[in-house]
Amino acid sequence: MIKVLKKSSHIIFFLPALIFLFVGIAYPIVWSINNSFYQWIIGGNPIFVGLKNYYDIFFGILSKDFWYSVYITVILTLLTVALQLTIGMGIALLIYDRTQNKIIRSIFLLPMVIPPVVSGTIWGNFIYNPSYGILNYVLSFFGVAPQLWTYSSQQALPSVIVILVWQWTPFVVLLLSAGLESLPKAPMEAAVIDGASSWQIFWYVKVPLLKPVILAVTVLRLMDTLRAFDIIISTTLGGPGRATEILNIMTYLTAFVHFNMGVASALGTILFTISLAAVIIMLYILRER
Amino acid sequence: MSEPKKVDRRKFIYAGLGAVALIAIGAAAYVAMNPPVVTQTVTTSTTVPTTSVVTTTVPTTSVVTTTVPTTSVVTTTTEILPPIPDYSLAKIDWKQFKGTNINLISHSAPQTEYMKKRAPEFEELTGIKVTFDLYAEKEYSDKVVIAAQSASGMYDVLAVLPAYSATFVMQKWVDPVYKYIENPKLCDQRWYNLPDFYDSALSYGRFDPSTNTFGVGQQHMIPAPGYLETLPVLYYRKDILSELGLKVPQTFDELEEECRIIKERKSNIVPFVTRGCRMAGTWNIPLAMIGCYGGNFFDQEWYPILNRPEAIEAVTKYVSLMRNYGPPGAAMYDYTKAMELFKSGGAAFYLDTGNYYGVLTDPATSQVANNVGVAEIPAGPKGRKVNFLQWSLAIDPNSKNKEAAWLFIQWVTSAKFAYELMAAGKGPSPRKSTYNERVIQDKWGDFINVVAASGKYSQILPLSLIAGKTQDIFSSYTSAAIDGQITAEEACRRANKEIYDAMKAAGYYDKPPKYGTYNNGGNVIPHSPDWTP
Repeated sequence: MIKVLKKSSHIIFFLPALIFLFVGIAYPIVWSINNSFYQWIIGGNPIFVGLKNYYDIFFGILSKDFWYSVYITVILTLLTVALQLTIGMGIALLIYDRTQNKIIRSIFLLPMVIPPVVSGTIWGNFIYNPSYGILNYVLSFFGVAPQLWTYSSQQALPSVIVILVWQWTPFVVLLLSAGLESLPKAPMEAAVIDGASSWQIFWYVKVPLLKPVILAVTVLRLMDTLRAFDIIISTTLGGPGRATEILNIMTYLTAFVHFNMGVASALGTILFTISLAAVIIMLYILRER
Repeated sequence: MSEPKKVDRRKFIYAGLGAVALIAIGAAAYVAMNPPVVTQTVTTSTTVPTTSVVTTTVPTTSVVTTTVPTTSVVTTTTEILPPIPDYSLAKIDWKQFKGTNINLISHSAPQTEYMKKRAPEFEELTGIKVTFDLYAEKEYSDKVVIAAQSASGMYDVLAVLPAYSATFVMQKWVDPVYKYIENPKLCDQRWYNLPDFYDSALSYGRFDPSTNTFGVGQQHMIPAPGYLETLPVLYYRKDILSELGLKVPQTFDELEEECRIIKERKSNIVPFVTRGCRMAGTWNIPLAMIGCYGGNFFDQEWYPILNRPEAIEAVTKYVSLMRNYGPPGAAMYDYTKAMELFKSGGAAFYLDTGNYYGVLTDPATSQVANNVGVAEIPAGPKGRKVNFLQWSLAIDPNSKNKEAAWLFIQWVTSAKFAYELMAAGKGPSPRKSTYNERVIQDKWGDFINVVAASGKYSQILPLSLIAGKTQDIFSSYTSAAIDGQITAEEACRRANKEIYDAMKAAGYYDKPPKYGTYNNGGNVIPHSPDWTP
């Protein structure tokens, strides 16, 4: 008995994690994929319809809304991640070798520790509000006319991107500055002796050495931004009209407002596939290094 | 080096196994030493069949319903109850489910917080403990749908949103309350006095399963206390109107004209505010206006008629009021933002639910408390229409304590409780008897007049099985029109097409008809053969 236990101890210790993976992740995914093949309005009986939900989404009656949401999602994700990386890299370069960087780093981390729903409510109601928001008030000192921010379809998407960048750039800074600190000194010194300018050192020495870290950060931010939900639901709820209705919001509304679980499951599966594809591509590039 | 490491790991594994074994032995010992727990579950499971026997006997009592009026006539001659009878006068055994625990899910509001505060008195009276799960409205509405759909019986009492009323009763997510009302062991009908509720309030809980029609038939849910929602009424600032020499507007044209004057003469005041965002009950405002202009949301056979001239005219007026005289960013204004703006003195006219009267006139919460006037909704070319909304309380069909849940609902929706809640200023009562009390008349004066007047022209919401979806479609287009992305006419036409598609998918145009005809108490418009989506 003891011998058997001894031999299989690795399995026993692995079991809790396995159970968690199955119950918490694998089962819901499989269940949701299964649901996506049914026409199922909450309360009614699920009817098997095969790929009809997917057909409706890609080509049928939902296609206009769906492709619009994809468009919004792609724009939001690309712009947000690009801005986060650029600004994050800039800040990381500024702070990584300062002596007091622990204090500075903590200050830069502050936005990240605020729960997204709270920061969304603060930005949406108190900073962006066109009537009594603080942003228009501050800008009025510089002679800028009051803007509508998240309250108009033209400015809603950029305004949401600003919140996302504000909230998650610290995360990028944290990882990149740690990466910069761990870089070997020798190549940099060699470059200085060879007479490279600081820009050349950054672009030809630091960035190539940092590539694995940059890729990892990009993957993490890409996945998170594709699923950005809490900030949007607490600022615009996909509005005005449908100006900020990313795929996640569309899925939420389909499930909990339209009660259409079949289509919502199909949308969830599509979003899951997109995220998975993005990650696999990034991991593949990462492995090549 | 490797030698001690190996021993360490082994020791660790043994220690881990030992701990697991200890926990297992401990758990076994705990189970063995606490047999009462086991017997308790056995007793409850044996009581369940008896309760189900009770429910099976109910059909016989429901056959008796026709004779109920005669019995009540007989009893009235023997003893006269006061108009608002005390809890102790009910001829039922309040203690019959002593020791039960029941759970309630609702949104957090002054009304529900007041119920929670008074729940210990109910526990004292009945020995039933009520646990309140109160959430913010959006969170609550997600949770209550999940709770109902999963059939877990997690909650015994459900508060049901007005907009979800049809969905809840038609999907059989509630256990019909008429069974409990007709059971003399569980309800003293003469004391409870169901006809004391306003009929329109009761209609939100009625359902006729034989024709699949919501709003008529037997009582499935009971109107929640503290709600008698007339949406919208017109709040105005007395000081601004008298300063500019303006009268209270009687029509939407007058309202627009006065807004123009206010915009010209008082640049720091937003002339008009109401709900304009997507979702959040925004559709109530254009819906009432469509009624005032002689239109309706659906025709008699559930075909959407938002593309008819009356509806387009009404939505155009709504959009132009919000675009030209509303606050900047009006397309994102939900009821909270609109109320904040009016309460802080930033707006002159405010069109929203009558339920806010208490909050707006309370000096503790409102900066303009002493200058708030309230009036009926302005009239359109075809007179006035307002939406009547009713929150309801219902019993979860999967609850294990349905009878105890009913006792709580009976207590909390009684004439006495409704009166006490309104006298405390927490919300208007859905019972007629409350309004005969002097205390109430003094405290809620103007409000009672407006509500009494609007009772004559109220309509209920266009509640189909997919009310949530039709609401989302309609409000997303009106919000886009206020934002300026499309015109009001385009908004109406596109919403009409999409709502038609959604209703068709939900089986509303199936032959033979799956659902009863549409009548919301508004202008009933017969289906026209040349109807187009």
